[in-house]
Amino acid sequence: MSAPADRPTLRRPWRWWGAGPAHLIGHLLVIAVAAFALSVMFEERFAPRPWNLLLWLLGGAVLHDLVLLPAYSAVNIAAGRLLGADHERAVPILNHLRVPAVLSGVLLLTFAPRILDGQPQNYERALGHAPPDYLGRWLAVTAAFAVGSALVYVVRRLRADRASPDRSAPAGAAERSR
Amino acid sequence: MGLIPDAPPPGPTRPGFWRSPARSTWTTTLIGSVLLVAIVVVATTGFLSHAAYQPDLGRNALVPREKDLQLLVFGWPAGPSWLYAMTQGAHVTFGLAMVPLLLFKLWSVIPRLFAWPPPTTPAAALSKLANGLLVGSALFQLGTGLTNAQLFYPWHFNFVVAHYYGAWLFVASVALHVATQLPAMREARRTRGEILALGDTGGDPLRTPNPGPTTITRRGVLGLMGASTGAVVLGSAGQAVGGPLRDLALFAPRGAGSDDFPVNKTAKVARITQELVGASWRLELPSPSGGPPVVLSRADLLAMPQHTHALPIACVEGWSSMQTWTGVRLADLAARAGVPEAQTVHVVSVQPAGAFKQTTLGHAQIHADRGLLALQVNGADLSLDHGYPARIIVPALPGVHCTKWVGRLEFA
Repeated sequence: MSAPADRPTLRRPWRWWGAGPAHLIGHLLVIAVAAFALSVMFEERFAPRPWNLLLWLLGGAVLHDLVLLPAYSAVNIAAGRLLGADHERAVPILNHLRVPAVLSGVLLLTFAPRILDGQPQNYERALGHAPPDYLGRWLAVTAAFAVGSALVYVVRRLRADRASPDRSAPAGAAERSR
Repeated sequence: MGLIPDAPPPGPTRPGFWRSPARSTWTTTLIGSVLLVAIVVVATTGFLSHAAYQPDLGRNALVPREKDLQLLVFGWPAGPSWLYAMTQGAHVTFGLAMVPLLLFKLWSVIPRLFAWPPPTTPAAALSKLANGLLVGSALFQLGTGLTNAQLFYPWHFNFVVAHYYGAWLFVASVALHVATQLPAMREARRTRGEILALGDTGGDPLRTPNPGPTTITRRGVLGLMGASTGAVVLGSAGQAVGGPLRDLALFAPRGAGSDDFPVNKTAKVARITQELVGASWRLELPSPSGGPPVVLSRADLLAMPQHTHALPIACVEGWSSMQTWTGVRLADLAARAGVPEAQTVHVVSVQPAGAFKQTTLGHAQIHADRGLLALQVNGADLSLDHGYPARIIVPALPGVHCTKWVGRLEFA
């Protein structure tokens, strides 16, 4: 992601190219390795359906950059709007939603093959017994995160109230000046 | 540059579009450094696993041998016994832990994906391409690895070949990325204590000129990354570590709720029948000189000197399990076959189905003090699923090479 070196510092023959010779050599080496690796992966005996492999190679980046990240950003923004001037509250609520959501979302993404179990027969064929209820476990863990976060919020809120019992408005100054 | 307007169009290409004040090159450097440690562990253990399969022997190679990029295919040692359990457990556990690390890393650099103007020189375009390769191969490796380790195969290509060559793609891209980013990483460490007013980017392309309210600090972001990585590790590491941690591995296929002595393939799936392993079963040791083979019944094997050792069975899927095995030493069987100095043994199972119904082991495995053809485990006869009447168990050998239902040992 680095911008190639500033053009004025480059010697003349490299100026239109936009970077020095080391940049070019490094990239050519990687492209050579990539071309060789891809040529083996795409051999018909290993990838009888080349489109499927191509989809897998490009799919992750596209899904992440254009679906997952925009989606969680939008949820984050929506939550921020719903909560209004949350950062002015004595105990802001937003991170008490964010933390359990991120933890349980990461678990879902990482263990989706077990939790959603699109091919339940694989587990039974390998281990000889039916899989445990991974979805139930994830839901239980998610609930535990949510309850835990709510409890921490309540405790922090009680402490904040005790610290300034005579406050007329719930200004967050005392909390934030710590 | 008449074709591309100097001012970015509305949307994510505008510098003020991304508003989190937690983003900065310092944040990215820290996340990237942690991620890099995980990548080094996962890549090293992955290539070690490739070596552990001993692709230079017999028909072990799963990728075309003449196109194998790995220079380091050495004779895999038969010890320490926990070697493969450790390297492969680390491969899968660190690989899963990379999911949150990579998510946070990508979050921290997302504004650069849309940086305006788009590449204006061939070199800048090449950099973009290399970054595409980097992110694409990273997500490909994680996606294929974590699905395979969780017994889900939603693809139409050869997993081993794709994951192995995908690793070369990924490692090469990471090496180039680190080399090109090193100056930025050094610079970021220097700015660690630097305090800039919100909205002042100080020339840092990842700081936002248009910050939203500070709802979370940089430390908060890093803490959240640590917590989610910890949750993933806790949810899976127990299948590799065993003991009480196994019950905490809520999401690993061989974690909580699974037998602490699981299998990778049942006898039913391998199409093992009573006729194949019943009283008529014999172990055949062909003579390399062309003479009549040595044929041993299970009673003959039990009459040979028995050895008992605690050894882990360790799977490429990242789980392992320590058990106490009893059986005949492979070295004794080599001597019985008339090849006391055997260099290799081709192990053939009676199982009609399965990719690993044969394997070839090397000198280290045959002559390992604790290299066994096991007949019993934990004091009882092997169960059918664990390879009755006889199976290979050798220290540090990948589980799929510890062939079950062995019918023939060809020493040479």
